[in-house]
Amino acid sequence: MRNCGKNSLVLLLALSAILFLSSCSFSSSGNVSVKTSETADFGDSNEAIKNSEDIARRAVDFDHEPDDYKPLKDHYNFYFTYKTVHSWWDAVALGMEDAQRQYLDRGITITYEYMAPDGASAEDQIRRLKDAKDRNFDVIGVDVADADIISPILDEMVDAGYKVMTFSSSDAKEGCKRIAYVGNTHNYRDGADLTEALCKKLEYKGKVAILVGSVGAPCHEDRARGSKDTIAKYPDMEIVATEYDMDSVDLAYDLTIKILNDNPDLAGIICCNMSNPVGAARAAQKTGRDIVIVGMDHDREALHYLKDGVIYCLGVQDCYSIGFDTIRIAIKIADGNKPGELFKEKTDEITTVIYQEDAAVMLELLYGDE
Amino acid sequence: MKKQITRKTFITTAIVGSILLMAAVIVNAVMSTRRNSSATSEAVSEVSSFYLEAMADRRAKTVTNLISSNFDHMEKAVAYINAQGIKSEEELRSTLGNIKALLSLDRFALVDDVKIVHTQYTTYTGGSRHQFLSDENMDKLSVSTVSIYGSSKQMCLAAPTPGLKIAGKQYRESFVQIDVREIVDLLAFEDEGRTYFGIYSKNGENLSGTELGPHILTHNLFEALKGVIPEETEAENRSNFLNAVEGSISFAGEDTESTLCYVPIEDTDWMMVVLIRESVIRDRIRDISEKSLAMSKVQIAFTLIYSAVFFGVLMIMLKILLD
Repeated sequence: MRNCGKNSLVLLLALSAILFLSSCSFSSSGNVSVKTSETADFGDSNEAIKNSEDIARRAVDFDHEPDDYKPLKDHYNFYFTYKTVHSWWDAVALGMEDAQRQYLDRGITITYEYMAPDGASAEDQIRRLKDAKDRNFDVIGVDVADADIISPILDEMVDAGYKVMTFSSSDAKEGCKRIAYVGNTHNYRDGADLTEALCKKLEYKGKVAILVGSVGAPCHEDRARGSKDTIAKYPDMEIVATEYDMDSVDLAYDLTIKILNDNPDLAGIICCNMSNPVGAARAAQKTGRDIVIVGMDHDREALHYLKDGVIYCLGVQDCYSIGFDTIRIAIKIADGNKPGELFKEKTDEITTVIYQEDAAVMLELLYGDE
Repeated sequence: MKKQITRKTFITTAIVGSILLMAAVIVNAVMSTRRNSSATSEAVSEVSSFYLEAMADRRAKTVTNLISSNFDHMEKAVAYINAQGIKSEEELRSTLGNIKALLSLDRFALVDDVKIVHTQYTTYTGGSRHQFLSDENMDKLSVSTVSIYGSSKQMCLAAPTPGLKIAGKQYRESFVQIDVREIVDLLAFEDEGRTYFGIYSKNGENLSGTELGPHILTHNLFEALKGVIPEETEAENRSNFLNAVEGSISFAGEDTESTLCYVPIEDTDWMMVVLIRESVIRDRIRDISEKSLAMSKVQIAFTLIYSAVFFGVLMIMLKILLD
């Protein structure tokens, strides 16, 4: 009886212990640490960027394909020379390469050289053109380094039977015999538009400076003329400095520092190429001066300055279309066609002025970041 | 002095013991249910991180292997070109084209000593276009990302070509470009849309063009998570990205919680990021939990029946003893 009672108690306690321990061991399997866990709610800001997306996608048109023209040959070999090694022309090259790929898909092989010196130089361009003449290219394309010097050379080449076209940012002088031009035909207006935006921002008063670019480069000079003519319309505005930065960021920076030191009350800078807005913005940041900067194109650093409000606006040229259309027109020229129904003597490509609110979308479109 | 066990003492012991046993069973059942639920949540996060880390690691290694094998290919290709005795630009273009086709590359090119790039179809001055052609990067192995002016994003592998001379001209570098979309195809596997992955740059920029879940999509990772994670968490993870340190972030989306895990890809400045919605793991764990719970119920029922039978046996034994 006594043993039986003791056994019963031991059995009950053992059962309880087993059940308790089993539940403990079961629950301990989840007793683990979490690496990182922070939570919050999502916000929705998509609506705000829709307009900017439209502007950015209109500014650079990546949707190109060859037209209905049937090339007469299955292989073309071109030579292109441009002002200077610079990322602006790298963007043009991407349009060219895409055209080359698309024609290749259609059975047309295009090979080409696309060459430039490290610094813009009419003399270097002359040397390159002379060299190209001896190498049997179907078409020679030139982004004119200096219209006064290069235009007569192009005339001579056309007279000698070479098929010569101009492309990208700078055409030859009016009356030049080159066959066609593909690129920006409204540099004067671009300079005027950017300057008008700057004047409005400054409420049409104050001192400004102009950074032109390369001496004699038609696109830079034309934009500078557009700027000067616009400033001249407003009596309370004054141009205190006009400098040539030779399309160099470093030189543009040095020149801007000097201009800022010489003019403590400077209100704005008009930049006529892709390099000088970067140099001007770096200088403004370095000196902490609050000035309105307007400039050209899509340099990644410049777009970041635009996003941060250091640059007020940028005139973005559609380099991709320039490159694609250059190849498209070069094929027609190589086949002996002249401007007319098949192509225009001047194929105009657009420039779009973008502001701070458009910068992030443009950065994402062109460089994949925001 | 020994006490006698009376009938009353025995019955009291049996009743108290049974009640204790029942109470223990019920308390255990309640505790188990509560702990089970909390453990499930913790396990979801832990499993998410563990699973994602393994997945990110595996994918990162795939990219590293791809880089390594391409550098090997480039070395062999340059040796092949050197042995061909090429005498003109036309011959060089043709050879580059053959190699490009053989290795399924978007671009295979050589760079001469004045930084002119020679490809199958073009010859161009490339100093401003290619990062690896800067003076500080030339003449060493480099892996960079090509992402300019709307072009498809590409991985660029460059290697020096010491001693390579073609038609009297010295060549300094060879490089290949691989479309990131092709790398993505290599990494993608059938996961029924439950996990997401992407390749990101140091600043959180999406390079692969793959959507990282319904909230982040293809946007910059940190821009997309702004306001969703605390600022200090964002700063910590930004720093991890910049310093190539692995980590993870959990955040609440519109209707579900998600966890993402990132690991640096060796030899590159890229991050492999993998994301999973926790509901996916929660659903899977719920199945396991439900099965466990059913087992517990059976166990409890068995214990109760066993106790009742045991109690009955004791009563019978007691009756026999007293008789």
